[in-house]
Amino acid sequence: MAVKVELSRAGPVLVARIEGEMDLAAAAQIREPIEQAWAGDGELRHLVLNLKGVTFLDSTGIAVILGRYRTVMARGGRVVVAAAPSRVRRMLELSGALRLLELADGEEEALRKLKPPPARAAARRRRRRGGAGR
Amino acid sequence: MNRGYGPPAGDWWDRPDAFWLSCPATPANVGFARAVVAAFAARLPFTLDEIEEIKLAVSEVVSNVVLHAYDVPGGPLRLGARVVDGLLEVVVEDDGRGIEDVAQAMQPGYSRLGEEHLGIGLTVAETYMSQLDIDSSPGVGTRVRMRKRPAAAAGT
Repeated sequence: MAVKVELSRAGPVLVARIEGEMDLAAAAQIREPIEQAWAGDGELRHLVLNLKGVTFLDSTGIAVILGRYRTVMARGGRVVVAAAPSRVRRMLELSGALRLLELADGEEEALRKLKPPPARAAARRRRRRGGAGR
Repeated sequence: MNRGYGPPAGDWWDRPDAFWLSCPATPANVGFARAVVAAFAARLPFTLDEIEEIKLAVSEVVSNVVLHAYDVPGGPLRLGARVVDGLLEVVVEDDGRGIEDVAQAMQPGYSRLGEEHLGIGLTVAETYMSQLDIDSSPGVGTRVRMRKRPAAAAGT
């Protein structure tokens, strides 16, 4: 059964929407377009994997996800898994992958997570002004 | 296990509910194998969640055959299932390199391949099935036998 990968970009975030069964047969079909897009754009920093359409995930599928985690880590970025159906989430838990990945209910929440929090940005501005406002 | 394409010797066909098939060990046949076993398992009172667990276990074990058994992909893969005393029994066999150290292969995090292989496949299969046994001879092949009892039938 074929897997479908749709890529888009939101600022420094690469968003991959995956549909179908994430198994050994699908591994290369998922890995290659993501790696290609990532390598071709040095501005990309984070990855969102939207798994809403994923109907099956086994350990070879998780290996593909963790392989991309390594790619993203090399640029100091983060990986957020969005909209994972409950069975997919359970498998991610069982494998221990959630120690490395972040979860979000949907793609919007994932993108929000990856934006620097305004509070911290404000704190940075305060620090730049000379440490006032503690 | 070099026994051609037939089922394990003995009483395999003594049960009315049984199948046995063979196909090349290729990535495309991983999905085929779990779909066939899932369809067969539906004749026992498994819940949908349990059927998913069976699919996962079959996927992990058959993926192992594809990834590890043969130097050149596409060697023989034999798959069968039957109903034994209300349990589902699934058997996966190959004629590949075999596993030198089964206990080590069962360890979570162990993989003879490196990067992009988690080494948790057998742990996942063991977690989701009631029982998992591996019989392997280096240079001859490997047979994995898994059993699962429907939770609905527990205590009967």
